[in-house]
Amino acid sequence: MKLLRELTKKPWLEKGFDSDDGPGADGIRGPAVAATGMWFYVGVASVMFSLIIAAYVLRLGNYGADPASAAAAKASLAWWTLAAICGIPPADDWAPMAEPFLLWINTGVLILSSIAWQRARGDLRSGRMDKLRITLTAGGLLALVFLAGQLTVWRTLMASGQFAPDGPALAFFYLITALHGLHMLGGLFFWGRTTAMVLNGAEPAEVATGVNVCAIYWHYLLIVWVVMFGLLLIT
Amino acid sequence: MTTYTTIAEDTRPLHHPKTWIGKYVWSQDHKVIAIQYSLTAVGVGLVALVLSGLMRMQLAFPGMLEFITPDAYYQFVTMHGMIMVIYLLTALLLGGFGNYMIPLMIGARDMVFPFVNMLSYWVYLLSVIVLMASFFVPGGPTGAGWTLYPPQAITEGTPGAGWGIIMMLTSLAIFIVAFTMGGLNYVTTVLQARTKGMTLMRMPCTIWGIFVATILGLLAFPALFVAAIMMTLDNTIGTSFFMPAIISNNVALDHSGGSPILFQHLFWFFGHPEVYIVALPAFGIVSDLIATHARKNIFGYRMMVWAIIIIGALSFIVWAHHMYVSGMNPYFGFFFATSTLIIAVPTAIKVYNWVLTLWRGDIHLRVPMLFAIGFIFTFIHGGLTGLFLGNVSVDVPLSDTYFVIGHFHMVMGVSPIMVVFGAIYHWYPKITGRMWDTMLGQAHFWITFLGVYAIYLPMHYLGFLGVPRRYYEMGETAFVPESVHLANVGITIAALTVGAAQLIFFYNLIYSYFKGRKADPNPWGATSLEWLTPDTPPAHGNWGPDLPKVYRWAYDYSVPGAAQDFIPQTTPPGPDETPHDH
Amino acid sequence: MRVAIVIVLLVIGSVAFHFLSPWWMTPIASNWTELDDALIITFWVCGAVFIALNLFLAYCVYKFSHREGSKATYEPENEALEGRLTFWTAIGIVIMLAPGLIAWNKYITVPDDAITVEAVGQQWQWSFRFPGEDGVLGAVATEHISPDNPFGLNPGDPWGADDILIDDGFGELHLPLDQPVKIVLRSNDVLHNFYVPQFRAKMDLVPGTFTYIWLTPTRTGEFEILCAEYCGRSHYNMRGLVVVDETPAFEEWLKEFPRFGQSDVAAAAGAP
Repeated sequence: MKLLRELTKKPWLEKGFDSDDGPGADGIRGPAVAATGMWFYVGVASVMFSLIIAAYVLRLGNYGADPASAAAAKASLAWWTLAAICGIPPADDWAPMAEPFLLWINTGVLILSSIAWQRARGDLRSGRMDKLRITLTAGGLLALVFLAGQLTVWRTLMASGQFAPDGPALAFFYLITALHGLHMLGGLFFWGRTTAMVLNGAEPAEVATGVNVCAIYWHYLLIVWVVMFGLLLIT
Repeated sequence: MTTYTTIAEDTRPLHHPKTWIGKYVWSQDHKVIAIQYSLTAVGVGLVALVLSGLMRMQLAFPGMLEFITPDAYYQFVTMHGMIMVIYLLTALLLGGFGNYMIPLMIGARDMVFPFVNMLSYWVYLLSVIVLMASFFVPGGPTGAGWTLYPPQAITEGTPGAGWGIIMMLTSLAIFIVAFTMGGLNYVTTVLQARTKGMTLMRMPCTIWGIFVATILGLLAFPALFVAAIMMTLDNTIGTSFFMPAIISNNVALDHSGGSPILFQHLFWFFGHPEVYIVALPAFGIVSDLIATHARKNIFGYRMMVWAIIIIGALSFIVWAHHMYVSGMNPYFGFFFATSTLIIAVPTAIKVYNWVLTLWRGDIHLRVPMLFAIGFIFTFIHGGLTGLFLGNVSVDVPLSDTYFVIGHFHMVMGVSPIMVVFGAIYHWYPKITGRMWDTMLGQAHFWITFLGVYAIYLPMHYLGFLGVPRRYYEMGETAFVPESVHLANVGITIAALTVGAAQLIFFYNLIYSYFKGRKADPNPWGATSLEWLTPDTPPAHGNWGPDLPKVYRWAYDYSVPGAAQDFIPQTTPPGPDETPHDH
Repeated sequence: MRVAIVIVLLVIGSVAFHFLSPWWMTPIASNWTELDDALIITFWVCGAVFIALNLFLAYCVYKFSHREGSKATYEPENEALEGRLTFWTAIGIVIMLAPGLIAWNKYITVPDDAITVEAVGQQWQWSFRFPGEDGVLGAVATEHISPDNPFGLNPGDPWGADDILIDDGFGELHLPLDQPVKIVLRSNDVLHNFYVPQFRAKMDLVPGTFTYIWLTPTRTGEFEILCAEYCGRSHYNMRGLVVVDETPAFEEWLKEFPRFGQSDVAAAAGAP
């Protein structure tokens, strides 16, 4: 609403400015720029993951030769709305993937990682830098454990001869986990920077942006993973 | 109100390079990065220009240049299109103009993430190097057409289906990473680094265009990124995202169940906003050129801003108008034809307002204004022909003919390039501190403007006739009269002339850089901040000790009662002006 | 002054080019006059706007060019004018869109009395298949494609036995005059597009699925098929020919071609 009011102003009628309009001493308006940048990036990544979901469902709906599977697929509303965009009903090569149990454990680890990040935010607010060191380290290490777990899933699948070309569900699994893992690695880079500053005795104000931005990013990656994992489970 | 920001108090880190390399190579100064982006983009654009000349030679004089085989021709087509759309126009308008203009026009010292900004350029350069390297790999660059449709993009019947396509997809993925880094910077800078008094509705149209285009880019490029990765996987390790069971070269390939149309949806979900990623900055810039040189505020500024936003939003729901005859669900034709023609309304309003800005203006026909008028003419032409192709059943006979070539070159080739030229002439005095030569500038304009119309007008008529595009040669075809061949010769002559005329432009820029007369800091009497820097060219940090303060919008031209016909944005309200009521 | 004159000359030149140049739509040979009509409406609406806007542009440039002492009028916006322009633009859009959508509805709705023929694209030639007396095309799949079975017909499908296969290397298809025909489109390798300029209709062939167009040939003659979706290095050479015959001549022509049931593949599979 505020934006709408702003955008309907007649700028030629208004001269001068509000004393509270403008950047602070550092030339920046509003919240930390790193947070804004992160939120925009979350937008970018969300579009990417959404398109992968769309592609996944469309590819899933790519039934055709087998009337029974086509009929089963068409019973779902999601198929109708999304497969209609695709407009073609071909092959029946979709083989659901058997999700290894390890994925559940990895999901649990990622949740723990997010919890650690949330506690780190609390420690930061209360200014307890000694505890912050522990929670920050834990958050990052748990993420590393998650990544190691995902790699193990890959290796297990490959060891049992399940490679990406062996079916569209597998191909999407590798694609999704790889992209999600890369995003996590990117987060770990900023985690490393922030943690190093904390371990070197930085003041709370110096690392506040880093901790908060990373924590929100971690929660975002958790949501992405839960959605993706859910998608893999129901198909 | 009275606190002044000074360099000493300015706690925001501003990287101060010490060495020549730090200043001009590993620079974090937005202006240097802008020049790096622009020079690279123009450089690679020249390659694409030469390729188009070679294509035209083949079309006018089939077989005369023996090295232009069908393979080479299709490789030229592909590389020409991809370079022009992505590596030239996107990079130049956002990486070049965006980088240079955003901090200067909103009154900031630099981008908010200068290091990421620098990284963005170097990653962009890497993508260009990978792209150029594909000319030298076995099999040459990909000849899949710039749309890279599978299956043909990765099967044997297409030139460059081995190495070439991998290099192309890799380069695109790298470009998208570079663009995302730059784009996050541009939007955050516009939102948060605006100086005191620079409200959103006081921003010049240039910034609005670049801002919305950057958001479009951030949200659209992921589609191309995903498509590129999936196609790379199909190609290298044999997945079947886009590849159905097919025969290639009499051998059944080991794919099944993939959907080629899925790729097209992803591609155009990116591809259509991409048109506006190029067009919106051009819309914004040309608005400022027209207002400045007509000494009149841009007519209907609010409508112009809203139109940019509405066009940007609508551009995400029109993508399948590129796919009317692709075999997608035919009922989608109704929706996409309607949404596409709706987008024509805000676009038309922009055209009206440009012309209405000239109406009762005080038009100075300097070279930038000539190009702005050239833009209006070519954009009217290209926009109207878009109504043919957007309207689903009119598209059926015209799709994949020369009408399409004529249309998209007018609308997203020629008209943005007109703005680019106009903008370069407009800001050159500020960027270099020198003036260009007027005679050469005018010659450049007239040859280019008249030349491109001679190139593209006949193409529309070849399209009406039904001549298909992407044909290496027509050969003997009953419905194609001999006169079409004459048209091709004429078009080629015009194209080569226009291409050669660009030498005038480069000569003018280079000569003037060294020998041009010193430029006035504000030679056109413009109101916006970039003309009000203490130094010309602007020094590192742009603003000297104090950031500028903005008291008014960017279009106070010919205000009744004012002493001059322009009032800079930094001029406080006069006694007769109603101050801000709060 | 000079700029204004050039713009006027460009407008006059464009109109003159339209009337003097020998290039316009190739004479139509199918029922798709609706597509042409929608195009013509769009052409005249857009043409009128093109002329009006550019002449106004030229007038502004001529009338309001800087002269000694001249000054621009200060007018930030004019909501009423902008509203009127929006309204009339919307009207123009509706005038163009409505016939387009109506024509599209007809374009994608195949009439019941249409006969069926299949056009198959493969780099870089055309072949065709008629369904025979049963009116049903037999099932096909890529895995059945072999030198002896280029269409990939499933030998086990009884509907395929009477299918008439036209694969003579010339890519020549005959169609009966004034008979609606649904052309089912299929590709064995990459995207192609079945395009006969005189028919106006076109559609991509998409590997992995079937697409279609329909039309009624309205005059006899020979019309070239061109591939209109880039399909690799010999795209420009992927030609074929449609010959529109009177019905008796068409039936005579169709008799020359073999049926799938007579082929070695079908015999080996023990099909009837």
